[in-house]
Formats: sequence, structure tokens, C-alpha cells
Amino acid sequence: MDAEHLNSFVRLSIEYGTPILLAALGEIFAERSGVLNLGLEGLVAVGGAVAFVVSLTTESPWLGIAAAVLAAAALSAVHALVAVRLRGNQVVSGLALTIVGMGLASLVASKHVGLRGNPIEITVDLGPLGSVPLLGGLDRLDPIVYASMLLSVALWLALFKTKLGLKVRACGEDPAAAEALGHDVLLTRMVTTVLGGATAGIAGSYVTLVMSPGWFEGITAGRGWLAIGVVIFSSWNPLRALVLSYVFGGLMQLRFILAPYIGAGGVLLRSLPYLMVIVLLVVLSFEPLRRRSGAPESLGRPYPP
Amino acid sequence: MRERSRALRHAARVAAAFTAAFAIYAALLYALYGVHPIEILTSLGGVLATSKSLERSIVRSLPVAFSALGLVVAFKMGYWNIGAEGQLLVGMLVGTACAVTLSNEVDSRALALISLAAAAASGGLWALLPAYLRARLEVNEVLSTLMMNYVAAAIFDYIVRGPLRDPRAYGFIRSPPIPAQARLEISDALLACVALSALVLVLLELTRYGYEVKVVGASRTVAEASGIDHRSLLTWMATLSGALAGLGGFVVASTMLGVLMESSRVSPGYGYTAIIAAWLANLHPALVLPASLLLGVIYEAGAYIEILHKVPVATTMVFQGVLLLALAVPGLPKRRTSGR
Repeated sequence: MDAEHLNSFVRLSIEYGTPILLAALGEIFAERSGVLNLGLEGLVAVGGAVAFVVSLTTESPWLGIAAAVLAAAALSAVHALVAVRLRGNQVVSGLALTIVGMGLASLVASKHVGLRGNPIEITVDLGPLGSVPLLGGLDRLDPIVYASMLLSVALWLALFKTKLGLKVRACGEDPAAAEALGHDVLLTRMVTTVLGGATAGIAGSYVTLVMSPGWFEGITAGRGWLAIGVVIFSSWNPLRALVLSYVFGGLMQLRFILAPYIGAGGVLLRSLPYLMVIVLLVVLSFEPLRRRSGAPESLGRPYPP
Repeated sequence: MRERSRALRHAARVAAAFTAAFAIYAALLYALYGVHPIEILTSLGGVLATSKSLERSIVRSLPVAFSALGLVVAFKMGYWNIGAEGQLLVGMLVGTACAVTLSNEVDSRALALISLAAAAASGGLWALLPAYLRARLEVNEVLSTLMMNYVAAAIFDYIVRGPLRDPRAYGFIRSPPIPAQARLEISDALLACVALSALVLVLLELTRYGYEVKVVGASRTVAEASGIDHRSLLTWMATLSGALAGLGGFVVASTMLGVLMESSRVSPGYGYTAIIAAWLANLHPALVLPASLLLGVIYEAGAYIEILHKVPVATTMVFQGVLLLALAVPGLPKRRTSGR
């Protein structure tokens, strides 16, 4: 692989990884506070559909993203209500959210299938940085890519270096103790769930406004689920999620590179990222690694119990 | 007595969930497509009134019911099998491949039985891997079963495009037709579904396994303390769950489709609908078929509205999802009836 191919591989991996990263970042925050949201796939779909349609009608991709964020946040507020406030079954509620989200996305976008949308075409020039070897693939990407990188760092700082982050983590580890210290566990969990939905909304917008402008059913291709995998493999750490998302982005686009060499079997390569999730889950299940993985102690458990 | 009040409470919740789901779905359809709620109701009536569409709803609900029966067993055990979709696709693929390739060797009704057996076995095998990983290595089954769905779809599409493609299909991506001797009657499939519901009910209510499933579902610590081998129980029951989904896959191919096309065209997500059916049935095997029929009718009404108003049928997922969401809300806390 020569430098130019390597650059385009890095570039595409980042582009394919960005929606996974954005969805994973919000989910890390939600899970750190103790709420499992299996609705990500549906939230990504809704975000994508809303961003696509609103950007078309308002002719502004940025308004599209804003609308997607609002829609996905509103939908995850439903999950917050059912799973946190009403102490419903988190797994069932999350799955239901995914199903609702897929249906809503189709409802919102189906009138515009076949249109190209109003994609973001701005790129950011990194200047001299772009000509540094190996960094070439990082240059001239869209602003959302860089924003999501910065967001990973910001969320990492917020989670591990601030009082607020400590509070969020306490709600996920030992909600009773957090409450004894005067924290509002339910409020914290609801806020993180809604914020988690918001970033999933941006993730969806990225798919339909940058990666492959337009809409068709199934465009999300399991990215929300892959994000849930990334959350686990990153040990609920935003910086590790950054790297892992790009690895999964690489796996998702590998088939386009390998397809010319293997012909009809190319369709099998579609399964690579999903197989990788299973493999990594197995690797992580071995005792020494499991103990270090650091899953929030009260993840998925309603509070008060 | 307690059984009865529990059943009544579930019925009330289902009614409330239905009302909520209908209200939201109807409001959205009205707002975005101008479809009047009355028209949704009349299309529901339309589905029930014509025998052709009623038949289609029954056929559609069969794969859902078969899969949901398996999910009932898995969910009761606390095993979140979200992989019915993949298990169903694999069963459909292997069953059909079996029927097509053996059609010259076996020219009797035995071919249908052989294909059904192959479908069940392959669906079960597909479910075995995540079950084994969960039982032995504690690998989270929500993600692993779900990922297996995407893998199954990729394999399905590869086989249908390549090895199992009909060269006489004028370039269309589809398999050769399932031979007549392996085609099933809808009435037979329906009977088989009723019989299997009864078998699962017996398994859960009258056998030691059913008792153990409930103990494991209630608490694994208790299960371990009472000497239940929860690992092998989980592996077997999850395999059974996959086998039932696999059967459902071949049933829909052999009653309705007749040929295989790409995965996105042969299943509108039967395996996911099965999750809703299992929950709607309150995890009771006898209620699975009625619950699935109800969902089948809703889907068919959606298809009806698609033709009339160009509202894609995938939007019925909003209805289904809200239904499941409403069922996830726990019952209101019981009011104390006697003193304090």
C-alpha cells in the first residue's frame, strides 16, 4: 500500500468511525451514570432521517443537525422516563426505542428517498500539519470529525477530572452512596441519558449529511449497535473509544478495498465489524481482562432497587 | 385467584399499550401524510374482511409466532436472545437449500420434513454459539446474538447471490423455486404452530426443565444453590429457541415466498417482531399465537395503507415499538388494601 492509498484508508476509516464514535461518546456518559440505552441504533436512524429532511427543506445542513439532536434527545427522554423514572426494564425499553426509532426514521424520510440532501461540504485545512507523513489522511476532513475528536477529549476530562464527572460515575457505581452525599441520582441519570441521545442524533446526521448524503432504509447499518460494542471495549473511556471507533470504521470500509480481489465473496466482508464485536467480547470475557474492564457496578439496575 | 387477577392486569396493560400505540401512530400519520385515523381503522377492517389479506396476515404471523415461542423460553430464563432474526434467516436458507438440492433425489412429501428438520437444526446451531459463550464465558448475549443477525444476513445474501442463485431467473437475485413436494399448506403450518405452543407450554409447566428455567430466571444464585446445572440448561434452551426460529424461517419461505431473495426482502424483521409478540403474550406460550396474529394484522394493515397513501409499511414499526415501550413500563405499585 503506497502513501496515497494509506492516506485514503486512514481518511475513510475516520469518516466511517465518526458516527460510531459520536454515538459511543454519549452512551459512555449514560452508562457511567448507570443507564444502559439499547436504543442507540434507533436514535442514530432518527437523527439521520431528521437531519436529511430538515437540511433539505431549510437548505441548511446545520439546522438539520440541530433538529436531529432535538429529535434524538426527545426520543431518549422517553427512555429516561421509562427506564429511570418509572424503573421499567431497561433492556426492553431500549429495544423498543430502537424499533420506534427505525419506524420514525422511515416515516420522516420516506417522502424524500432518492434525493441527495443538503450535505456538509466544508473541509478544514490543517495547514502544515497535513503534510506531515502519516497525518495526511487526517487533513481536510469535515469540521464534525475534528469536533468529535475534541469532544472525546473534553468528555474524558469531564468524566475523570471534574467533580461533575465524579458525580456521574458515583451514580453508576453506587447510587445509594451518591444519594447519601446529596446527589440527585435520578436527575443525573435522566440528564446523561438525554445527552447520550443527543450525540446519537449527531451521529445519524453525520451518516446522512457527510458520509453518504441521502437516505434509504437500513442506512445506519448497525452503527448504533457497534457503538455499544465500542463502549464496552473502551472500558467506558472516551479516549479509548476514539481509537476503537476508527478501528471499526476501518473494518466497515475494508470490504471496498478488498472487494476487487475476492469477487462475489465481498458481501461476506460486510460481516467483519460484527464478527469483530463477538471476538472482542470473548477476549474481554477472560478473567484478568474482565476484572480490569471497569464496568459501572450498577449499570442497568434501576434505582431505587 | 391470583393467576386470574394477574391475567386481568396484563390484559388491562395490553389495552392501554394498544391505545397509546394507536394514538401516536395515528397522530404521526395524520401530521406527516394526512391519513385520517378513521382510514387506519377501516384498513384494519379491510384486512380482516378479505380472505386473501387475512391469509397473508396469518402467514406473516407464523414466523413471528414460531420465533416468539422460543423467545418465551429464553426470556423466562433471563437470556436475552435478540438473535431470532438471524436464526430465522439461517433456518430459511438451509431449509430452502436442502429442498432445492434434494428435489431430484427425494420426490415425496418426505422432502418437506427433511427441509424442516434442516431448518430447525441450523437455526439451533446458529443460536448455540452465543449461548455457549454466555454459559461458559459470561459473554453478554444481547450484543452477541444481535451481531449474529448481521453476520447471518451477510451469509444469506452471499449464498443467494452466488451458490444458490437460479441461473434461469433472468439476472434477478433469487434462488430456484422450492419444489412442490416441500411446499407447506398454511393450515398445516398453523396446526404445527398450535402443537408447538402446546409442547412449549407442557415443557414449561409440567417438566423439570420448565421448573429449572423459572428458577434460573428468578435467581441464578438460588439455581446454583439448588444444584441446577444452569450452564447446560441455558445452552439447551437457547438452542431450542434458535431451532424454533429456524423452523419459522422455512415455514414462511415454503408457504408464502416460494423462492429466496436478498435477506432484506425475505424478512421485514420477523425476528424483532417476535420480541414484541413474546412480551405482548406476557411470556405465556398459549398467548404467543394470538399475539403474533394481532401483529400480523397490524403489519398487513400497514401494507394496505402503503398502497393507498404511499406511507411505507416500515412505519408500522412505530406502532410496534410504542406497544413494546408501553409494555416495558412496570405496573403501578400495588395499593395496600389492608391496613398498614
